[in-house]
Amino acid sequence: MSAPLDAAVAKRLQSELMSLMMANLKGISAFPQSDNMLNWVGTLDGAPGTVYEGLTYKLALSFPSNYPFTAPTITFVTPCWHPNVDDRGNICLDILKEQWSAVYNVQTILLSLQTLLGDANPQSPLNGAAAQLWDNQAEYKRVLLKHYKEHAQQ
Amino acid sequence: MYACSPFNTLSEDDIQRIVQQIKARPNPAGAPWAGLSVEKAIDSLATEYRGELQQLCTAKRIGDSAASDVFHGFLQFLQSLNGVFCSYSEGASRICGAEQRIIGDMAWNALIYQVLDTRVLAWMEEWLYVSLSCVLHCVVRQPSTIAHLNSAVDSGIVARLQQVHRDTGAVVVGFGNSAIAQSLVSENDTESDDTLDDSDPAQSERRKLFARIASDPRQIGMFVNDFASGCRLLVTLRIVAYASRTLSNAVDRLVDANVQKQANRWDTPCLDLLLTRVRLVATTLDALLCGPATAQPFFLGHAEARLYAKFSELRVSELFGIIIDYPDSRQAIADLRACVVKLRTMRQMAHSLRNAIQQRLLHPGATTSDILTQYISAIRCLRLLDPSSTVLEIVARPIRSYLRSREDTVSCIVQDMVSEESELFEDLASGHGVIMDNGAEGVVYDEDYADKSWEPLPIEAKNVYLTAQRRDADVLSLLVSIYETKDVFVQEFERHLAQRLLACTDYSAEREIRQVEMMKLRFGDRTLEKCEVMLKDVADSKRTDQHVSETSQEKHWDMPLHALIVSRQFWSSMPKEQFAVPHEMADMRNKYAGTYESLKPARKLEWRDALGSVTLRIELADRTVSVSAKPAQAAVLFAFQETPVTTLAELAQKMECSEEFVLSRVRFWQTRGVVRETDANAFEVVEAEGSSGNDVASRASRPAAGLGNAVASGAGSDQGEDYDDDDEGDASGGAAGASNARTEALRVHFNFVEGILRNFGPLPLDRILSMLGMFMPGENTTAEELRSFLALMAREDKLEMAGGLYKLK
Repeated sequence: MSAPLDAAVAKRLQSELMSLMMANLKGISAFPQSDNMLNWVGTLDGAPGTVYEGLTYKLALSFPSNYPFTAPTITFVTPCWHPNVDDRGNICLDILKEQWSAVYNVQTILLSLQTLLGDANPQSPLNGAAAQLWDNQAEYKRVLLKHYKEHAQQ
Repeated sequence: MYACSPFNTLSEDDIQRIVQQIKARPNPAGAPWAGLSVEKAIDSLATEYRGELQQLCTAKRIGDSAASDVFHGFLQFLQSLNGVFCSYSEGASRICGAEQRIIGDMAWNALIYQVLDTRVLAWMEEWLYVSLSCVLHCVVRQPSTIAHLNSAVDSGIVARLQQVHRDTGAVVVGFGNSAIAQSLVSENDTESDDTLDDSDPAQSERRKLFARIASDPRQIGMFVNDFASGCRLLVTLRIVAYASRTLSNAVDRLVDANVQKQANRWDTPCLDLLLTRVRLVATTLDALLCGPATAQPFFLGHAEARLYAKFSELRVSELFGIIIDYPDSRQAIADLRACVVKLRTMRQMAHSLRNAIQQRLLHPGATTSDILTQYISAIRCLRLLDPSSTVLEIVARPIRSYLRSREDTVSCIVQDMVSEESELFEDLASGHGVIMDNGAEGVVYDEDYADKSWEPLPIEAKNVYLTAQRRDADVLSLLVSIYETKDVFVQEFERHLAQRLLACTDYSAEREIRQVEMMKLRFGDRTLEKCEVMLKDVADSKRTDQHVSETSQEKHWDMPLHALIVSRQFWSSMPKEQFAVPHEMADMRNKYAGTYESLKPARKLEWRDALGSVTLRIELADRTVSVSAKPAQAAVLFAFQETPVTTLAELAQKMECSEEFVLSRVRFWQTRGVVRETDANAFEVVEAEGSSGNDVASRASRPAAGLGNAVASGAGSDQGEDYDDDDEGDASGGAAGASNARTEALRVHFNFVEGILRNFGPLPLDRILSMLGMFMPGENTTAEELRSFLALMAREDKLEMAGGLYKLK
């Protein structure tokens, strides 16, 4: 069971939700699951002009009870073939790990992730095959679409 | 000796000649042994013979023949060679002591090892494959083959087979040869039974040979002996151990060929037949190649495993088709179940079927009713295949979510449900209990502890969302549970019922009454109250109509009009049409309405022309046409009756409606050849077919209402509430009137609704409402407000609604 929700955390998440909803940005979205303010479902569209254009990914966002002092845990629910995402959906992104700061919020995280999709960092890969192919974007796109078709469209 | 064998290419003479050739070499049993070390001597001997054998292999005679024939000759040659070799070896051991005997054996082994190159192994595989095919061919056609086999095999094949059958728990009816032979023959596969395909000319040649052998018991006996002696040679020459891989390859090929023949034969049980055949072949081989009955059977286990794997592979790949063919394919399902239970591949099967369904069924080319039919068959098939419903759960999930995204799913299900010949109708009539909304889905009810047949969920059920109700539910309730609420079905049924009742012109609704009763059994009495009112309206209308026609007779009115009087509140939306009714029709209506109002004071009839129908007899100069038309179409024709040549603008003016409205009605008569267009938007009545121009048009036409049978609808205006609850536009209009500011505030909500729908997919109203309530501070929108707001958004093309679920455009 999750610990009782701290009022301050709830308030912070509530206001983040409100600003996210009002910003209404294209291609990123997230909403709490009906039973728990600490668990959100996110939706991410690949940015136009990148190989991920037209692909949609679902995310699971899990906020710690001392949010925002600790980073939320974010994983891809839709299988994502990407140099910095492993086969269980774990993401390698500095601002979610050592570079986390309390000034980040859901909106900035989602925007960072959207950027990460189109601008990978093959130097610290979680998915070696994807990292190797990264420089050959045409071939990368072919493999990516095949992977997306096989795993994500279910 | 091998006169009747298929393997008679190498004659006795040939072999003798080659053996003589070898024997004519200087005899090494003499002096040479003394100088050389024995290993070296035998080694050089082996090398020499290898050259001889190589020569033999490349000899033209052998090179030309089929591989299996070559191998048989080759075996005989090896046998002779072995004799020569033994004499050498014996000579050596006489000179150098008993241990040289062992070295001699080793040298023979080395020789065999060298000789068995890929080409010889390929011959061997072919030989065994063809021989086994022939054995099977003969056994299936000639029960006496078993007796031949039995006598050819030392330890007795029948006894071995019986042991195998006892071990595997199969029931053997009798223990004689004929009982075993019978178990190998299936009634309806004698005509096409052959392990070889016809495409290859060499194969069809071989088939003829098989047929010749099988036709004569004497030849079978010779062939079986021949085969058995070949196998024994393999043992004597110590080839078996080196070539076990090749031998089992041949068995695999035989199994594969036999399995492949059962492709698409879903109406007969295949597995048992295949098993008995494969067991016969494998046991024969075990007996011939692996020694006494006590020895560990090698080929039996191997062949059975291969059979199960291949057969289940075949049937799993065919499963999509098997489901389509259900219930004709019951036997195939039983076979597949046996395989899958044995191999524990339930989950793989489920995923392969799911992929097949996604590729072949869930695409825009398939109609919703096809998908539903396939889903229903899949439910029935997979229940047989896997009583725990785990496979069904895995397979059904994409189908269910796909169906949910199709707009006509509900109407397809309802159509199917009420058509009396469908399977769903049986479910509906089964009285299986009232279907509940699955609000409580996710709660797994405790199993019934008294249930003796309870079985724990299989391991495959792990991670598969499964509830007890769904596991035991019948097909209808499974279909209903595609949606979160059964209301959508009830609403669709109401629409369907309204359509049927409005289409019926003689007030007879027995069928509909039965349907409603049936629906009540499964959906509960209270949910069908609207339908009850609709049926009652029909019955009341019948009485009223009777009263009107009696009154008309008293007053000598001509009354071809019959009305269906409905309570507007309880019927689905009724389209309105606005136009001036011709005075003949208006007169009739006024009389009808007058009589009704005298019967039911303080009520008023409001006619709905879009729903009526008029039967017209049109008398023209050269012909009479009978047409059933809509009131508006009839009205247009009445207008022509007054002015046979007219323009669109005049017609529109006369009927007090728009030109577009009139035009589509005029087109109706144009297609029936009653009216034609003389100029742009100018029309005239076609009095005589084939004539053109205005010369005939001068004669006045006389279209006449023969029997005007208008079904109109009206609402009791005394009932106060005058809004149409099926049209959300009206409701939202009311809300907007009450509070414009509120709607504007709701507009802010749309971002939230968008966020919810984007992340959670299509949802029903109450889920959206509860999520808004939970995550929007100070939120107190009511369901009605939200509904009208969402309807507004739908009109602005931001949302769409299908089957009770809202989704983003």
